[in-house]
Amino acid sequence: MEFKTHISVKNLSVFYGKEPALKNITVDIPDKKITAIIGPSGCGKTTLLKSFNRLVDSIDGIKVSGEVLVDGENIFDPEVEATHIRKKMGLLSQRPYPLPMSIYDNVAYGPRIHGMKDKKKLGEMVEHYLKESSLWSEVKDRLHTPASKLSIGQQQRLCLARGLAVEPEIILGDEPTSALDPKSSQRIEARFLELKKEYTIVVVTHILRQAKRLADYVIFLYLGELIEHGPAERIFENPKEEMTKEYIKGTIS
Amino acid sequence: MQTKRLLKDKLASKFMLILTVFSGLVVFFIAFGLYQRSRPILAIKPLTELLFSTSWHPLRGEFGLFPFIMGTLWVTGVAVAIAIPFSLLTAIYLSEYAHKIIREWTAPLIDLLAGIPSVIYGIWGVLVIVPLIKDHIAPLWGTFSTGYSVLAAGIVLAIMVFPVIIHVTIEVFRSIPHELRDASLALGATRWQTIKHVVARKALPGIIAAIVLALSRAFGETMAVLMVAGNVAKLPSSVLDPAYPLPALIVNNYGEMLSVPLYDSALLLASLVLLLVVLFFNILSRIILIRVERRIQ
Amino acid sequence: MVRLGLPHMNKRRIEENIFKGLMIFSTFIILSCLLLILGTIIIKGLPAMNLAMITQTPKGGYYLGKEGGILNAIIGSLYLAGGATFLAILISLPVVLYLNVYTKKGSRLVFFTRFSFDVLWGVPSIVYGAFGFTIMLFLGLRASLLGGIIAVSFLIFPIMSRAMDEVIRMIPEELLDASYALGATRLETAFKIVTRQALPGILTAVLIAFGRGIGDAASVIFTAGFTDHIPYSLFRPAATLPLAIFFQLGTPIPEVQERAYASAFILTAIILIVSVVSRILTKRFTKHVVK
Repeated sequence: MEFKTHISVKNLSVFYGKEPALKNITVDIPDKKITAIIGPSGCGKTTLLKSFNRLVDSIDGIKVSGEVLVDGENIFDPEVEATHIRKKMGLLSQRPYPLPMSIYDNVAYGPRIHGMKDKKKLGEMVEHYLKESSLWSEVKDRLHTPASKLSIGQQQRLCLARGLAVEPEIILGDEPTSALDPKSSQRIEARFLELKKEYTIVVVTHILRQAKRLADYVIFLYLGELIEHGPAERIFENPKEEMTKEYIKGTIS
Repeated sequence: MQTKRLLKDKLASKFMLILTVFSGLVVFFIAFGLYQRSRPILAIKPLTELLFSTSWHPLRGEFGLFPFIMGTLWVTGVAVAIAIPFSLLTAIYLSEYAHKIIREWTAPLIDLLAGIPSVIYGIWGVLVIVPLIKDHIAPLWGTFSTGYSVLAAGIVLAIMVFPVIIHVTIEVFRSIPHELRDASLALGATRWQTIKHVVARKALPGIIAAIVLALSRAFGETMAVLMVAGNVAKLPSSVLDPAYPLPALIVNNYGEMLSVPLYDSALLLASLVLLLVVLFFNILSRIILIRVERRIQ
Repeated sequence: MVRLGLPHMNKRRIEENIFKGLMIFSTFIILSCLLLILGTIIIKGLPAMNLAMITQTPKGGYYLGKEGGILNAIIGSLYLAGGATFLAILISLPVVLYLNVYTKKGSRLVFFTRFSFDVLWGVPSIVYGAFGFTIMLFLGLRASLLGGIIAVSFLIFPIMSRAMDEVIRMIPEELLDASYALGATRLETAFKIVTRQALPGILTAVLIAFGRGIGDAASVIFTAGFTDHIPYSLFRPAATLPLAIFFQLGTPIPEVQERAYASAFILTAIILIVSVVSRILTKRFTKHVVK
């Protein structure tokens, strides 16, 4: 499969103190596709994802070596501002964490911190991105109630709208449906399939079926090491590595 | 053997229950004991006169506590005004910015600050702060002050309440989930924006509780304030004036109080007032906590 | 997709740096206050220290006599804080064990007692002094070592209880269950398992309370009085270090003030030692706790 690279990981290693969490990972992530990072829990999936927007920075005693190039720019270059990198990426975490403010303010938060003052434009943006995450019709009459009043599935879509509102190029999902009921999960997955036309999406998941439903490209990690990566169809139908085979068959998990 | 063990267990249980209930009620015993002793003066003087009269002449039987109450309010106000910015900024720095090593080194030092006895603060205030105000700060304002003043007491008290605010605020900040910060950071917010708009907002009830706690600590602090406040029974009109806080009044007059009629009663009434105000602050802080929490959640 | 466009800005980076600067400045100020206080006490106190200071009682009256030392206050303080700590243990330990072993989860009594201790923690020491004084009037006691011990034990038992409670609460439920499963009664579990498991934490609580007790002046000023002599009975007045500082600082005689400085130095040293030891104990305790 020929593709344009959006994120390019080169020899990335991450240590928590002396414990290695990621060992010398090199992989390219395709542009405007859904990439799934799969593997058993504790294998470094989340660490890899959080390296992309440098959220690993805020963990005590972390050491990073290697490069992550986004649009050709090494984000671990000390010259690069973390805020600048993060603006390019929206994050959906395992559980939705609405900010302690209203629904409207949650979506407007990103644009505001980046200096948007125009009220009318803010209102347009909020509406636009709430529609984008298919939440608008459910909340349009109560935009100024606290976000915490929403159901957990709605909260996750709100977090998606909030992430989209900073106008990122990349959406990162850290098991974004793990706290949701099946119906809400389905909605998020449907949004992802729609959004990949515009965005590069990287999703961490431990649900194989979800990876099969969503992914165009798959990265398989095991205990901090990159075992195999490639187009989804090939990985699922014809894995090269023994470990990948066993994982897909379900003998290791 | 078996029954003896069970009997022992049962007896001990009863005894411990009584002890627990008793110790839980101590605060009421204290209030009751002080109330009993202040009844003689409450019987012949209206409470409003005792609290709001400015005339304090025990030998003439006049016991107006107002100057002392105002003295306490001035000193507490100045202390908390100084303490809030310094301790909040420090707490935020230690919980959100500082490297683990710095945190581990400063925590015991701040605990130590909390553990220093108030007389030590007092002697330090007399040796350092009072001369500083007399020789440098008062001349700067073009006025004269002995140095024994509201400001001196306020500065010393502020240092004493730093650990209270810092400790509670750090605890509250720590209780806020990491993922909430990540959610804001992931949108490209700076750390300070994250703190200002998200963390501090979530922590607001805790911060208020911390400040109220500091208020009540400052309100009842005795020895250090007594040593540097000047103790002149007049309403202060500036921070460079001396003040005579309520706790200082109680301590300074314990010697004579049994020889002048009603004196002891007046002083124990002052203690009761002090106790009730502190209890009020404590309970208030809980109510604020519950209310604001409910609004944010 | 519509890109609505966000302005790029530098202002927030400046704000970030200003506030970070202010925070570091505040932390620096607060820590230098501590150093300044300790420094002042050492600079004033160390030259005042000599053998006579710690082996003699004041000669010719503590307020005016130029000779002698502060042995009365050192011994008095140790007696008083020691006695009060002992009394406080007698109250705190059973209460805390009761709260954690005997009661059910979510019990009102537990909530109320903890709340009450928190409130008591905030009650100013002068109020304990005044309360102690009313008790003494009631019992017909005069200012004495015993009066001081009673007042200070009221002051420190809530502190001790809360500190003990914090550690004993951390003991896993399973440990208690394991003990019950072997047929132990609650009493045996409380005193043989819980106290042993939490021993370093309990000792820390005792030390914290002792430190608070030995440093407090406002609660003993009515109740223990002050004297030049070492108390030989519970019913005699007792001198204490904090009051030795307070009274002797107020005289115009430099030699007497020296005694105040020496008292401050010794009191600070005791507080430092207590805090270092309790920190070591806490470290040791947290090492053994299963998380």
